[in-house]
Amino acid sequence: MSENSLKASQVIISAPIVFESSMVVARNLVKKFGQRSAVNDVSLEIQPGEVFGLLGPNGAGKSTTINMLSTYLQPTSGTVTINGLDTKKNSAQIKQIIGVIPQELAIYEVNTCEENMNFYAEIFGLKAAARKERVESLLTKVGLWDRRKDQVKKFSGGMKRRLNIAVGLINDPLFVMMDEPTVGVDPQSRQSIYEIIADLKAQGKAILYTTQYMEEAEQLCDRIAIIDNGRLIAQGTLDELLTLSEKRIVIEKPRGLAQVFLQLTGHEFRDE
Amino acid sequence: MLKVWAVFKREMLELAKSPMAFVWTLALPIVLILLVGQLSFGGSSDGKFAISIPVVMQDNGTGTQQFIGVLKQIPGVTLEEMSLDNAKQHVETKSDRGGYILFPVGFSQAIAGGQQASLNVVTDTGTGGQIIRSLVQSVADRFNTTHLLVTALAQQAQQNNQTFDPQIASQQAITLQQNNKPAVTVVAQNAGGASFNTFDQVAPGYATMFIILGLSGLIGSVMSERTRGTMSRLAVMPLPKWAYMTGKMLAQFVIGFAQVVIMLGIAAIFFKAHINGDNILGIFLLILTLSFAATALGMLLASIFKTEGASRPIVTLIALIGSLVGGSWFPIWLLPEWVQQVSKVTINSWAMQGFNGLMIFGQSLSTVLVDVVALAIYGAICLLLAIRFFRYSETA
Repeated sequence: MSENSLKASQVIISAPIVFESSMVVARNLVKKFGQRSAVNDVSLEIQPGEVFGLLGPNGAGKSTTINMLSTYLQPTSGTVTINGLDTKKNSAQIKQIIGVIPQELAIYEVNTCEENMNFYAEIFGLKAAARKERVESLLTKVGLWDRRKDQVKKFSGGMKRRLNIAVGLINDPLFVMMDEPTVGVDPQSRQSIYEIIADLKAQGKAILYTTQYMEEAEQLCDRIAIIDNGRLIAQGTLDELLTLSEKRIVIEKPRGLAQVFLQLTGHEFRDE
Repeated sequence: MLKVWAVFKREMLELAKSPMAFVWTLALPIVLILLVGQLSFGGSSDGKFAISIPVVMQDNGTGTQQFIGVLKQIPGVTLEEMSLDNAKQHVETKSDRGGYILFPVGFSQAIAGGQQASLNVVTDTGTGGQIIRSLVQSVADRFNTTHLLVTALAQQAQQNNQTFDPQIASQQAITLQQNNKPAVTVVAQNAGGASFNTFDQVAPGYATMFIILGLSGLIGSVMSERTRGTMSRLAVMPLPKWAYMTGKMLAQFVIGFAQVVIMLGIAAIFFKAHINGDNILGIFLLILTLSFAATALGMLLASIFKTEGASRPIVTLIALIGSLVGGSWFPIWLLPEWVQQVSKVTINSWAMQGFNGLMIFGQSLSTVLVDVVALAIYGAICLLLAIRFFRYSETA
């Protein structure tokens, strides 16, 4: 461990802010697998029109947190409400209003781009006319409309990523969870993804964004939380994180989010 | 139901775009049926199986009568009592019978005395001969030594106006059991014959085997959805577990059903396999329940195993062992009694018993209804277990 780094348990930079009309409210989330706590007492809120960055090293608890927010996992304790609906009691309704864009390319490579979109649209019960309109609009937005008849397996990595995003938005969700959506894409596709996020934000969608690229989080996220060993160890705007970090970490003035991140989570490898 | 339809439709689209999957599910089984049908038996066609076996009774005692009684219970078997010369003429000269059975003098007495009795089966080398040999052997194998002995002694005592002594009978039975020899040995000799349409056995046999081998497609599809992340994506969409499972199973069911229908259809149209107005309903019900049972078994395996690599050898093993003992490769009624009993745990056994009954023995629908119901129960049990063990999400 570097001299500059601090143990996660040593710092809590900012307490979660309590908003009046949050789209997502997670309170004291705990998830245990056997005796092991994957997530421990995580609380966060995300506002409509806000991009909330969730950062953490590998195995920190990001995916488990997303899985609880998306209703895939039941919290061992704690509560999540999305648009006022409790995930434990209203998972069916919540699934209608959330969009999950997983890190994996969760699309069917043998099927065409359009078949993928139509399939997921049918899962949301979109009728033919609405489906056609939505599919065309989204594929145009991600630059794949002209390639809609092509099998996905013929697509480049960036095209698959964009389709993966389009699928996650098929139901026009109120809350979008994007798990490292820019992994392995070229600068053009990355820029296109940034534009999609900006568009979603302008539409008032609440967005949970995870990434390993600190400059990306700096650029895109309104607020950022850093999670490590299942606990949220910092939360706030970029400026807040930098300022608070500067005050608390006296050894070296942080030059950016990457520096803050490393100071908080340490320099040790986190190979899963 | 629209969501089930969406899952089903996507599966079918995927299949339509995979030429290799088409070859595996349809073309290969058909080629194999044609090859095996031609190579094994020459593809002869008689329609309904009915075999007449000449019987030469040099012994007319209780043991002989009992043996004949058991033989007569086999569906499609007619026994014709005749002289040795006539029997020889039918088998060796006219070649209109596959073989004859000769009960030699002393057969019944040997049984009554607790001794090993032997009978002769003289057959041609063709299918008819093979069938007769196998039928007689299977009856000899299941002939209950103790029961036979005690019954023979009791009847002998009655005929001779003697008192039946159960103690002596039981002692003789124990001695016979200790010798551990079969009550009846069959001495087989080659002599020309009867035949049944090979495709009546081969077509449903291979169709049943391939529908089970084809389960690796369903299992692979589920496993692939797990690893690609599409299943966990669907789990956080408004697609309940039951709808996902039903859609997947429906696709596999339709593929399996079509597979068997096409194979049997080809066998019936081009090779005169015995499918007609008399048995079409029974065959339809059998294919329906066979496809259901196989699909449910596939979903159960997909629920239990974590990787496709781990499941594939098990599917192959189930398909091959099921085919071997369940009558897909050989007619089930030719297999030893214990194998027939053990094979009840396989889908093949119930399906083939039904197909044989309808296509070879010309049995009625009511006779094979038990096989149809057994397949339906088999499928229901597998499905319940699959629902119990299938991992989708913690909330779905």
